[in-house]
Amino acid sequence: MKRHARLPVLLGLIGLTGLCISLSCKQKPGQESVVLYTSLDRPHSEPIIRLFEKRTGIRVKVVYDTEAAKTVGLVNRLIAEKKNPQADVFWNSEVLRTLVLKDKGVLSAYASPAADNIPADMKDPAHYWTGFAARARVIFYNKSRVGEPPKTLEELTTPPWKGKVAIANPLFGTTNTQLAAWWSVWGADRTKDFLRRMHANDVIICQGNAMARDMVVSGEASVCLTDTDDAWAAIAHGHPVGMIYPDQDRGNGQGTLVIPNTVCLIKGGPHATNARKLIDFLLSEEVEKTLAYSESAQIPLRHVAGLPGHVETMLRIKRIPVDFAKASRCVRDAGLHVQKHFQPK
Amino acid sequence: MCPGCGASRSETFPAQVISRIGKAALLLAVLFVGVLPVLYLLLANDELDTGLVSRLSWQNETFRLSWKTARLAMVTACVSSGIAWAVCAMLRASARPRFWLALYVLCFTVSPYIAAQGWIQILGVQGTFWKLLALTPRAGMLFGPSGLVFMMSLQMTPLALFIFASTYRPLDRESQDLQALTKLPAWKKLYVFHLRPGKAPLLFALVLVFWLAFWNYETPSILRQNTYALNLYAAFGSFYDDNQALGYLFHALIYAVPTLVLIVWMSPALAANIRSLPHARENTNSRLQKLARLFGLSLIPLCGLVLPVAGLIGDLAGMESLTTAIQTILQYSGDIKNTLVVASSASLIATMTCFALVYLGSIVNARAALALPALLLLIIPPLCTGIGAVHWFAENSAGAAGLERIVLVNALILLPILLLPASLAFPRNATARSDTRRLYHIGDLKQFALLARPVLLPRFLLLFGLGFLMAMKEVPASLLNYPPDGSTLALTIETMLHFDQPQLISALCLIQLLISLVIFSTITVTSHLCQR
Repeated sequence: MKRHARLPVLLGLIGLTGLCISLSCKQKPGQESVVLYTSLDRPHSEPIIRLFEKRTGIRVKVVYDTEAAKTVGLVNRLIAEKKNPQADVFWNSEVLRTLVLKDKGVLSAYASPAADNIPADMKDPAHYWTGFAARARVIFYNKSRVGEPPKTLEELTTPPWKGKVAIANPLFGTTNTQLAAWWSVWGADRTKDFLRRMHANDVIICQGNAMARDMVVSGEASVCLTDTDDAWAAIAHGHPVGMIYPDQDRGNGQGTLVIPNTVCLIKGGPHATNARKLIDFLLSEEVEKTLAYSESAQIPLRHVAGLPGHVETMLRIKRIPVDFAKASRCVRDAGLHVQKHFQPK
Repeated sequence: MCPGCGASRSETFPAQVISRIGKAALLLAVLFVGVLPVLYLLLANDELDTGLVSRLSWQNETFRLSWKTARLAMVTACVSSGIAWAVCAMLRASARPRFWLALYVLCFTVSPYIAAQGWIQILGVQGTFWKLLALTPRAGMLFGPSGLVFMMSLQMTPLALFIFASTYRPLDRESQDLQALTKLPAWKKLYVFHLRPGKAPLLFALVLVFWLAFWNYETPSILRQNTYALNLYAAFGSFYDDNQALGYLFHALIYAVPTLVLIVWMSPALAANIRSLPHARENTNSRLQKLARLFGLSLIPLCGLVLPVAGLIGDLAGMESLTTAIQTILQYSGDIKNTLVVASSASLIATMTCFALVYLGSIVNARAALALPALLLLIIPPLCTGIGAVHWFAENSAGAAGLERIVLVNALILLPILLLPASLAFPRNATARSDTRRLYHIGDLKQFALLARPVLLPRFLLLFGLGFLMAMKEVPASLLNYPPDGSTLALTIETMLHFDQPQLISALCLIQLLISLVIFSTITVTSHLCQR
């Protein structure tokens, strides 16, 4: 290359960058918008968001979280942006992180008219957050490796299941929510004892719920603790797997944990009016029904007519009596215990 | 009198002081810019409890975990750098070095998740390897420290190779003759002619790989290993406790001590010209040697690229039609565009900044000393930079977030990684400045344009390419700073990974690989043309 031809190469690089930046800055003028941060898995949340856009003409600008990043992303962003909020609405796939945001003063109260018939224990008394469309913690098993699946969590600590149970790292995600729920309902001592017995029974601690599920699908583990949405996804793809809701004995069973999605209004968000419209939409029965019909088969919190047959209703599931506010105060102690005593060997 | 130039002591003294002040200012400026997000997190945090941070950073548990992770990272660094050194030597003797380098660079682009999953399918409990050989599975091979070192080495070797390939100069004819004539044992020849003159890039590769492996979160968590990075993630993502996270960060400074020792040890080598790699073109004509070289060169691409990509292509075969594939690509065209913008802008900013710093460094005689802030900045994990940056942007900038935030954060992360190869690649023209000026009556800039630019441009392009590839696959800091609707390909792949949609993931990963291939090929061809 001639010497004088080298400068254009550099200029070309700079030009390419400039062109890309200019292309990325296109914006439709005058279009109303709302900024949504959501930790619900993108394949499940995206169709709902597009439906809202189609109905209202309001463009939803979305920031998603990733499974691998484990709630590091959105909650830290919302805390950091507290003084200069960028988001209008936070749609969380669980509840404890929403309570963290409430405690840190990131949220604003909003009593949505669409939330009137949501059960009282699934929404904040002061209207800082509202729950909808839940998932439950289930025992997921491989039918070709398991004849009689365990029906209680306690069974997972017994010799027949030694080295055959997988669980996501309880420091993160809904497994962390379950840990905090145990800590608050059972008390610290019983939870520690349960974790100790699980660990002694060679439980496989893996990256996330989806990975625990995949280990069962591949036969690497026989059973795992996971969420209903992960379990249904595998069942829908025709794998020889099944799931049961644990501890459902009407007499002695303590019930399983049901974790609702939560939606909340961000204090000082730039598009407050549109944010309320989006929250009302997300809390509608239509969205609960759509999520029930989706591959994640989420459980509506209220009575919704015409549900698919495989989706349980809240009335049929025996739930562990958890106070989410109390559970959120247990996250730290439970997490520190897990950090020291419940990690891969 | 100054023995070098004959100037009197009174003339050189102020110049020395000014040079030292300039040197210190430059180093402090680099350190300050790199550490700014963490500094902000530290100073602007209302809930910061220094006592708690200190207690957390000195806990026995923290020591135990950090030492375990450090050992794994050290082994990874030695394995990766050793393999890269050998591969670089083979590349020099190969007939198609650019082809092989491109293959290695593509290995570097493969997502850690894809690579790990590919190997789980091969060596996991249900792995094809055990099935094909009808053996009892030994999954512990992969889900243990050795498996982790194997997977991290696969990812890091291309990076170490890139550093060697972009900084080494071939052994000159004189040294080659000397090497042939000298009657020294082979190991001593290797040390005297190759290791000693090339120890700076080797040590730099060791340090860089060590820190990248130390803070690696994704591969250990897929392979079920409890490492230090996982606990840092828990501090930020489970407890939302900056005190605990900073405790972990400060504890990691313990490992800065050996890093500093290495810097001091390598500083004379950094100041010297980098040269020498075994250059065996004349001696490797036998068929057996050629076959051995081919085998050696293809091992890492086979393990780190071909096997995972074969799985991706296999998944893609399930796609209904070409139309579906094109529709998928169009659906994510925004992400592709964002990826190009972010990766190219961040890399351009970082590379230009690095070269400007090294140019300034060469003027104040601080080119080698730039290694100090560069290597110290490597201690900060991208997650901490990302968290600090999101606080900084949220509290100090008005208006909605744009792509510029993610560009700046990526540039900041790239800065220490690119700074040292930039300083190694920079010619020692500083000492010749006054002579050149006197002889040709030209200023600094003109001298730079005439003498340094032709040498620098190919290296600038190569480092731009490395920065582009690193920015393209960056996730933790980008996740914390990307604007609404401003997702990149790497982020989209991460958000879609855990759903049973192998065709989509495969299509997106292959697009990512294709972009890497096109960009890197263009860069290497241009770089080659510039050198001619």
